[in-house]
Amino acid sequence: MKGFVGKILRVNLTTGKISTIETKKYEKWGGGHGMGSAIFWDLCEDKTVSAFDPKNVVTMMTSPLCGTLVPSASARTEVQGIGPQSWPREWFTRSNFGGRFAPMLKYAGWDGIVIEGKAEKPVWLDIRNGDVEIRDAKNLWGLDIYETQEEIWAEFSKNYGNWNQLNSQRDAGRTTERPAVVAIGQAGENLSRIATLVHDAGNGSGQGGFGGVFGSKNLKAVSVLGTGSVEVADPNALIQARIWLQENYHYNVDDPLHKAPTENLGFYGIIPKSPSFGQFLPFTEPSRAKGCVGCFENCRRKTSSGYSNESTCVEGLYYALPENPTDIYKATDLSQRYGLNVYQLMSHDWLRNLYKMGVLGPNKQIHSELPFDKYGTYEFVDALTHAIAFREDIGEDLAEGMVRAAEKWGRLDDMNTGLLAYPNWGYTEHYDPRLEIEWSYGSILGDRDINEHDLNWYVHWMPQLRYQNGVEPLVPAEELSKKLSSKFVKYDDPMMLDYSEEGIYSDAKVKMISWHRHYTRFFKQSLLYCDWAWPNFMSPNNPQLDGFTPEGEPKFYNAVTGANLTFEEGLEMGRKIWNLDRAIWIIQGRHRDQEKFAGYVYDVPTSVPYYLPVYENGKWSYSENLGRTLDREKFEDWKTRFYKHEGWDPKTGWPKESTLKKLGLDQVAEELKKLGKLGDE
Amino acid sequence: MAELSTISKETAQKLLQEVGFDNRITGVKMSGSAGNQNTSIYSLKELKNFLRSDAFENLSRKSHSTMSYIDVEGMLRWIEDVYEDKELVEVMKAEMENAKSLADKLEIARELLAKRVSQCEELLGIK
Repeated sequence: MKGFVGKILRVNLTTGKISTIETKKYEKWGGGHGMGSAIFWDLCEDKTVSAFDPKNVVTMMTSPLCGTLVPSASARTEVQGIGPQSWPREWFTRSNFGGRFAPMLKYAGWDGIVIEGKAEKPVWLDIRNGDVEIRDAKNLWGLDIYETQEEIWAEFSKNYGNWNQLNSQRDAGRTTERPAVVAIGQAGENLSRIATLVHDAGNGSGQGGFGGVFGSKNLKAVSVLGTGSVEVADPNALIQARIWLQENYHYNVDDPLHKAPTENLGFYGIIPKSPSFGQFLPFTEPSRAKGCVGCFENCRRKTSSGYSNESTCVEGLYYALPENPTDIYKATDLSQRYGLNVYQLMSHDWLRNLYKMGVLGPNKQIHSELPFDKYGTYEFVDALTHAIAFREDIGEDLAEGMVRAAEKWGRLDDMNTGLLAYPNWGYTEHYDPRLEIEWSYGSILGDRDINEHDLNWYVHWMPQLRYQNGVEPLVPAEELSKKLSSKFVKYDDPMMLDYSEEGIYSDAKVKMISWHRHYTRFFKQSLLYCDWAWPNFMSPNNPQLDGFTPEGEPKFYNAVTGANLTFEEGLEMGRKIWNLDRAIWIIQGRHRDQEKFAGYVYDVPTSVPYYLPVYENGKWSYSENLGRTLDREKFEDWKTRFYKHEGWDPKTGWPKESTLKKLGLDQVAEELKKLGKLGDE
Repeated sequence: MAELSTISKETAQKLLQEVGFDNRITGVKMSGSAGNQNTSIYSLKELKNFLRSDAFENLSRKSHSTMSYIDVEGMLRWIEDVYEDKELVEVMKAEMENAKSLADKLEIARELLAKRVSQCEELLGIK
C-alpha cells in the first residue's frame, strides 16, 4: 500500500539483534495505533508483566500519512506498550507526540520501531536511513533532554558545520536536515512512573510513563536521520484535496466571514493574529509561529528568549501563581528538560494544601524539607521538580505518581473529597468527569485520560469561553447538536449531544461514546490525524458553518494510499482496534467492576459554571450545569447498555466470541477462550 | 480606576499575610487544552496573580492559554470576611457595576488587587 515505506525496525536491546518486519504484514491495521496494538499482541508474549519488565514491548509507529502533504497528519508518532503510570494497574496504553520524528523516520525508510528487551548498560539508538546501530550512551546518561539532543546533534555536525553526516564514512553523504531525537531525562533514568519522552523542544509523549519504560530498558534516546521520501498513490488527488480544503474552509484574513469578538480572541477555528501561547508573554516578547511538519495549525511558538519554546498544552500551565510571569515559562522548561508529566506535576496545589493542613512539611506526618514556604517563587518549583526527577525528599514517592503517593501516605480519601481530583486510572482530571462524559466515559472504558478534544472544543470550550467574555455562542445549542450529529454519519441523532442530567445516561449517549471510541482509535490514533485539527465538525470560515469531517478523512487517506476507504469503513476499523485493545486489557485483568470513577465524581457536586448543550423541558440551551454529580446506579445501567451495544458481555465487560470473530479477530477470541475470559454469548 | 485610601502599616501587614487551609479560596484555571484545574489561593497577592488576565485578550486557538474563573460573590466575601478590607470590596463592587462580562469583572478585581498589594508593599518597604 502506498504511503507506507515498507519496513518496521525491530530492535532487541537484550540481544542487540536488529531486524526488520515487513510492514505489509500489519498494514491492514491502518497504521499508528492499530499496527502498534497488533504488533504488541504478537510480540509481547506475557501481557501481564510489569511496565518495567524487559519483556514489555514498546512500539513507536507512524502512519501512511506521515511525511506527506496531508494537513495536520504528517507528524505524529504513536507510542504504545504497558505503561507504569496507570493505577491501580499498569494498563497497556498509548501516547503520541508531534514534531519531526515521524516524517524523519519515514524518510529514513521505516514505518515504525519495535523495542524489546533491556540493554545491559545505557544505550541510544542511531538510525541513519537503513543504517541502525545501538550505541553506548555513557556520555548521555545523566544529561537532561535538551542536553542529550544537543550532544547527539553535535556529533552529526562536528565535521561539517551545519551539514549532518549520514554515517561515519567521509563520502556517505551529508544533509542539512538535523536528526530527529526523542529522549528521556533524569526522571526516566530514575524509573519515574510519570516520566515522559520529549523530542525537540516541546513535543512530548507525556501520559503513560513511557519515559520510565525507556529508562527501564536503559534506552536514553532514539535518533533518526532520513533523506528519502514517501511515495503517494495519487499526488494530483492529494493536491486537489488540499485545494478543496483551502477553498472551502480556510480563514480569509482580509475578509473573514466571522470576526473574533476581540482582537486575538481565537474562536471556532479562527486563527488569531498572534498564534498560540497566549498567556502573559506574547506581546512583550518577539516570537513566531511553530508547527509540526505539514501542519496548518501552528499551535506553538518560538520565542526570542527561548523560554518554553514549542511547548503547548498542559506543560505551559505547570505553575500558575508566581509573581514573575517568566517563572511560568521557566517551570515549563524544567518539566521538558527532566522529562516529567505536567498533568501530574500540577498537583503541587494538592501538596501545598497538605502543607497548609499541617500534614506535610518538616517533621510532619509526611516529612519534607522542600521550601513550601516559598511557594510561588521559582526556587520552589525548581526544588520540587528536581526532587521528583531525582527521587529526593518526597520526590521519591511522587515519582511513583500522585495517586500512588497518596496511597502510600494514607490519603486516598482525598480522591473522594476531590482534594486530589484524579477520576480514573490514576490520571488527573482534565475535563469535568461529572458533566463532559464523552471524556470521562471514554477514559474509564479505556486505559487513560483520553485527551481527545474534538467534541470538547465545540460543546464546552467555545460556549465557556464566550459566555465568560460576554459574547453569545456563535451557534445556538439546538443548531450545534444538529450540526455535530450530522457529522457522525453512522448515527445522526442530535440527542447524542444532550449533556443534561438525563441525557448523559441515554441510549443516544451509548451511540455517541461508541462512535467516539471507534473514530479516534482509527482516524486519530492510527492514521494519526492530529487531535487539534481533526475531526472538523464545524468551521466559521464556511458560509454554512460546515466542517470538513466526514469528507476530509477518507479523501486524504485514499489519495495517499490508493485505497477506497469510506468513512464508515474507517469507523469499523476503529471498532476492531478498540476490541483488540480491550482484549489486551482483559488479559491484564480488566473487568467491568473496575470501571468505576473516584468517589468525588459521584459524591461532590459541581460548583463552577461548565457550559454544555442540554435538552431540558423540550428546549435546547447551554446550561451552567451547577450542582451535578454522576449517579452510580444510572452509570452502571448505562455501562450495561454500552457493553451490549459493543457486543460485550454486560456481566463482565468482556467481548463475546461472536463479536471478535465478526471483526476478524479469531486469534484474539481463541486466546481469550484459552484464558476463560470470553464474554457469555 | 478608583483610588484606594491610605492604610496603616499594621493593615498592610495583615493584607499581605497568607491565610490557613480553612480560609483558602479556590479558583479554576480554565484552558482549552488542559481543561480545568482547581487552584488554591492563600493570599490577596496570589489572588491577584491568579487573576492575571491578559489571557482574555489572547485566548488563542487551541493553545495553552487560560481563563481564570472564580465566583465573584465568593471572592468579594472572602476579601471582606477574611481580610476585612471593606474598602477594597466596595470599590470593586462599584467598578464592576458597568462591567459587560465576568472576564471584565475579574480584570477589574485584578487591577484593584494589584493596586492594594503594591500599596502594602511600598508601605512596608518590600519593593
